[in-house]
Amino acid sequence: MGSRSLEAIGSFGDADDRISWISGYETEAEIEAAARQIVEYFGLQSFVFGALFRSGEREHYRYLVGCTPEWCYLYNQKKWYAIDPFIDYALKNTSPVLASAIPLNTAGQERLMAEAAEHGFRAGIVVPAHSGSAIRIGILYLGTSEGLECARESFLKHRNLMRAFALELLEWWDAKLRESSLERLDLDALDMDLLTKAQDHATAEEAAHELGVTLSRVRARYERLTRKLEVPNKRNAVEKAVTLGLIKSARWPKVQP
Amino acid sequence: MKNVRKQKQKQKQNARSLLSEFSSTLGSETLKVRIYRDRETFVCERELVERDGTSFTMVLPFMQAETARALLSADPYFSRVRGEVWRTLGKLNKAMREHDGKPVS
Repeated sequence: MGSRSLEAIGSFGDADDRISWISGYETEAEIEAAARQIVEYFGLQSFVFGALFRSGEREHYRYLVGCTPEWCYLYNQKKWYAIDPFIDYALKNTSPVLASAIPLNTAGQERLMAEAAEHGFRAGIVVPAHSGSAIRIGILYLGTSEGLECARESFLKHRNLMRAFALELLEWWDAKLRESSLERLDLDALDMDLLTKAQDHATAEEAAHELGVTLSRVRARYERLTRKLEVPNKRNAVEKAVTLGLIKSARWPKVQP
Repeated sequence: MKNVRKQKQKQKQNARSLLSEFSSTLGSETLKVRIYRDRETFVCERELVERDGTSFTMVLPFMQAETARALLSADPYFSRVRGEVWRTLGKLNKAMREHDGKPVS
C-alpha cells in the first residue's frame, strides 16, 4: 500500500490532495484506506460506494464496503436495492443531498431507513456520480451514527469535496473495470479502434481504409472480437464492450457539414 | 513487437491473481465468492446472482485473513456453504503464508 495513504488528513488542502490521488491508486485496498481517511476528515464514520450498471435487462450492483458488512448482507438479502430511494435519486440527479431530504414513499423504504440507522447510517449524505457511460452511475453513501446535525454540518462544510470524491471513485472504478476487461479478454489497441468504428456504424471496408489495415485483417479481427466477447455479431460486440467499460456509450452528436 | 511483449509482461505482472473461489447454487440464486491477490493486498468479492441475472457484488479489500473470515462467516448463507468457505479460506491462508516468504512486488 502506498505510504501516502498513511498520512492523516488535517486540512482542506490535504483532503483535496488525497481525493486527487485516487486516480493513481492501483488496488481497491488503497482506495478503501484513502476513503476511510477522507470520510473521517468529513467527520463521518461509514461509507458505501456503489457502481450500478445495466446490461440489457439486467442490473448489476457493485459495492465497496466501508461500513459493517452485516449491513450490506441485510440490504442484499432484503433486495432493498429495488426500492432504495437514494438510487432513484442518484439516477435522476447530480447534486449531493442530505439523505433526510429525500422523501420516503413506502413502508419498505421506512424499514430500510430504520435498519440503516442501526448499522451506522443514522443520518447521512447521498452523493451521485455520473460517468461518460450512460449505463453506469455511482452512488456514494456517507453515514454517521451521531445523527442529523452531524451530517448537516459535514454536508455544509464539505459538499464540493464530497462531489469530487464520488466522481473520482467512479472514474477509478470505470478504469479498473476497463483494465481488467482488457487483460481478461487480451484485447489490443486495434480491437478498441475497431469497436469504436463499429459503434460509428463504419463498414469493414471503411474501418480498414481509415485505420490503414487490410480488409481481411479487419474481418478476422471482428470475428475474433465476437468470439472473445461471446456475442453473435458486431452490433452486440459494441453493446458488450460498452457494458464492460471498454468503450463509452454516450457520444456527442456529430455536427453536420 | 518487443514493446508489445514488454507491455503484455507488464500487464501480467500487474494483473490481480485469483487465489480461490467457489460458486454455489442456493435455490433460485447463485452465490459466488472470489478472493484475489492484488499486488501486496487482497480483495474478497462476494456476488449474489438472482434468477433474472441481477447481480449484487460486495467488494472488501483486506490485509489479514481474519478480515475475510469474519466477512464470510457473517454471510447469511454461511451455514449452507460452510465447507466451501473453509476450503476457500484454507487456500487463502496457504497463499498468504507463501506470500509472506517472498519479497513484496
